[in-house]
Amino acid sequence: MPSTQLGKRMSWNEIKAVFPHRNVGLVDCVPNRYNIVSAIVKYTDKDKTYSELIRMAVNKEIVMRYTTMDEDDGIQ
Amino acid sequence: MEYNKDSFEICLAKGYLRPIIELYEIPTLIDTGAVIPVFSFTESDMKDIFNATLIKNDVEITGFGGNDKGSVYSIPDFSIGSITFSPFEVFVPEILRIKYPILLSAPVFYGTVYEFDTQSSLFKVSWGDDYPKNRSFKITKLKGELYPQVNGVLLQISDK
Repeated sequence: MPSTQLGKRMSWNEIKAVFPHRNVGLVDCVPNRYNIVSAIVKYTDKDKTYSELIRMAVNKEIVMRYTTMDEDDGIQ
Repeated sequence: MEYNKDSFEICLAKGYLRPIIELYEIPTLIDTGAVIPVFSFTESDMKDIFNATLIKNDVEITGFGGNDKGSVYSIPDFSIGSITFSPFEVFVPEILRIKYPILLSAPVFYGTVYEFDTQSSLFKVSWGDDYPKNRSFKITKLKGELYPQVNGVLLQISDK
C-alpha cells in the first residue's frame, strides 16, 4: 500500500514506481528541488486535494511534482 | 515606461523531456507550441494566490489536445524573472490540467530571445533596450478565437 511509503526517503525512480500518475508533495529533496535524485513523500493527491497541494507548494511547505509528467497517460 | 536591456535565468527542472521551471514555487511548463497561457487553478486559488479577477466565462481554446472550455482571468501583477506583466490574463480550464498547474505559451516571451540550455539546465531570457521590462498580456477574442495582445500589440496569424 503506497501510503506506508509516506515519510520514507526514496529515489525519484522509486517514487514514480510507487506513486504513478499522481501529484506528490515532497520534502528534503536531494540534492535540490530542481534535480530530485531522492526525496521524502509527505503527501499525495490521495491524502490532500490538488488545491491543498498547490497552496502548500506556494507556502514552501512542499515541492509539488507530478510523478509521470512526461508520459502520455491520457491525463492532461 | 522603462526600457532596459536585460536578461535573466531560471533553473530548468532536471530529469524531464519537457522544459519545466518553477514560478511562485509551482511547476510550470513552457509550451512553445501554445498560444494562450493556461493556469490550472480553482476559482478560489486564482483569487487567493494571484489576486485574480474573472474577465470572461464560457470561452474555449483549441489546441493539439483538442478543445478546452473555461474562463479568462486577469492577474494584476505577475513576474517571470525580471519581467513583470500588469496585467497578465490567462485561461483557466474547467477541467484542470493537473500535470502542469501553469503553462506558459510562446507569446508570453514575445520580443525576447529565449533558449533552453539543457547542458546547464537553465532557461535563459534576454531582450534589447527597445523592449520594456514592464509589460501587459491580454487575451482578446476575435472571430471566436482567443489571441494574445502583448503591450497592446495583437498577435495573430498573418494572412500573407
